[in-house]
Amino acid sequence: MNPTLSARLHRWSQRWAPAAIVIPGDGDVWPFVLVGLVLYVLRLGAAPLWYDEAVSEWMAELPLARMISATAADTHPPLYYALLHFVQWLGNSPFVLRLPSVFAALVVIYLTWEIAREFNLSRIARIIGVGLLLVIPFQLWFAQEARMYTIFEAFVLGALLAALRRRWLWFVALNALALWTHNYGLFYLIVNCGVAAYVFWFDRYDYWRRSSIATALRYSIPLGSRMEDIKHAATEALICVGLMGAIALTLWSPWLLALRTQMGIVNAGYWIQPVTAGDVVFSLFTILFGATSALPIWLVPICALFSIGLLTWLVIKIAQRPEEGTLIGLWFVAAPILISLSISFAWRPVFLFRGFAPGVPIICLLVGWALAQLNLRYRLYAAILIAPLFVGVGIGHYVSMPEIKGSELQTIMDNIRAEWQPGDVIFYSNEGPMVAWHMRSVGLPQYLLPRCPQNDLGALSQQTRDGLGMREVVPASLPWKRAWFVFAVMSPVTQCAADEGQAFLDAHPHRLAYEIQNDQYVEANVWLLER
Amino acid sequence: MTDKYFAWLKYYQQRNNAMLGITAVAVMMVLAWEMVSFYPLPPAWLSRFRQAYLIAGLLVFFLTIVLSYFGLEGKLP
Repeated sequence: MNPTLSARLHRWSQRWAPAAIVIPGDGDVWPFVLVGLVLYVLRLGAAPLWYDEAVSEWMAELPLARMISATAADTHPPLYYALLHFVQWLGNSPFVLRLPSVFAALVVIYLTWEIAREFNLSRIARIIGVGLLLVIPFQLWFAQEARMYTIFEAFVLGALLAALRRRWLWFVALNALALWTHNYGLFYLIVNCGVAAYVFWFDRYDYWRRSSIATALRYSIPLGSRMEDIKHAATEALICVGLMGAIALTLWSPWLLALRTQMGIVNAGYWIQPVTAGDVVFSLFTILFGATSALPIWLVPICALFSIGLLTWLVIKIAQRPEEGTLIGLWFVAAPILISLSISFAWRPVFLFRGFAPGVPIICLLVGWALAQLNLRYRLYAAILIAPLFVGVGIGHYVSMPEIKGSELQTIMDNIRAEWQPGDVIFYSNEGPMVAWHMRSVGLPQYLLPRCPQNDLGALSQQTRDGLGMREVVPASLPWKRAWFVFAVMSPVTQCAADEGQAFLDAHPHRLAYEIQNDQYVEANVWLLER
Repeated sequence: MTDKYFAWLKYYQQRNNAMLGITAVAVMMVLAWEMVSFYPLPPAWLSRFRQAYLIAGLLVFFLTIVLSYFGLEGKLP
């Protein structure tokens, strides 16, 4: 990049970007940010919104008070939906709705570079680490996803950087924002407080050590014991960091009541399965390769082999040559996983790879650090291993994303609209397809079949359904002539819900209108019923 | 729950078991590399071992991709 342009961009960021006002940087990061911008904006709107993104869109289009009520009985805090609410003023196309994630992913590139400087990584290590972050499939997926994960990453990494740079007001504020963005913010608050405590302790220990030397010199008394200095410093660090953590929690405390309801929902039966060793390994693999639905099945074994091998090698390298920065990095990556595992074993399964998103850029930095220690020949060898996988999966991401996210649903809905007659309605057997089709079926009368006494696994709560305005009706109570019945039986659906759907189908003359997916795991079709 | 749930559960367990097998192979490969690098051998031997390991590793890497393609494509969800 032109050094003048780079310097100009840097000066501009120093002047205008809120983060840069407190976080000094160097101009070297901007080429990476620009490449990131190209990679993240490329085909950004090509894929339709899939279920999770459609939930974001639906939540965001509600009035704020109703959105907060709806999400209070779901599983996430409301900050991301509130942000998306305002972004929707620019439009509600997938491209616009995914833009906040793109911007946050660009901020993450910047923060990762700066954290690498604080870790005292060499320039080559920084370049490899941040370069890896650009092509790592996990980051590419979530930078182009209308969900909160890259924003959560940006807040948590910002808090980490604030701790390393002793910007304590920013530390508190960014941790509080992370708490309002994702419930895993609680885990990362503990992790970041751990880093802050270390930094604080280190500073105070230095202060106490100097004080005791000064006192000893002034009054000609023997030096105070080193242990006393360590104790003083540790006490101060614990008090100050505890206080900062408490302030962050206080800023988030209005959401505590809602969190209680959310935990009740998880406790009552969530779709996450009990954690097994294989599950942990699978999550470690997906931390690098992102949503595995984007991977062709034949690439999974080698990608998993590569991921686990790489992480194992990384741990060995850190153990062989422990440095302050890399140890903090290891703590930042491993501690949330251990906390989440502990809670999953002690209470309910809450172990989900997406929540570990903030650790991904740090893993890239650690890989950069480890590779930077190798000679050029071995680095080239590593590139031969890494490049085909990451680049191949990245290209696959762009090509297959529309299909993975359900572009055929749009075609089906277009056909339904073309065949629409007065007196037609749409019924959904459950909320899954209703959410996914929400944006595509605007203006059409659509209803849910009444819910069974036992919820589908991970189903939305009644309060969330009410907030979203989902209408459950008994079909006989409506004056419809023809009904387009979206009948989907997937793994989380209860037998009762499947039977109810089948009974509705059998009670009317019907024909198969459109097939969506039919295999041993999912049976989803659109039926046309007549009265 | 429906038979879809139990089919998925079976797939989930098989996947997790496969992951454990892959982990064992990956960890052994890395440990083998570390041994090749640090085992007290004459430097000339060590260099040859490393070369052989890296070439064999690359062959296994690409061979696994090819075999996986012909073995798994279209057979699993």
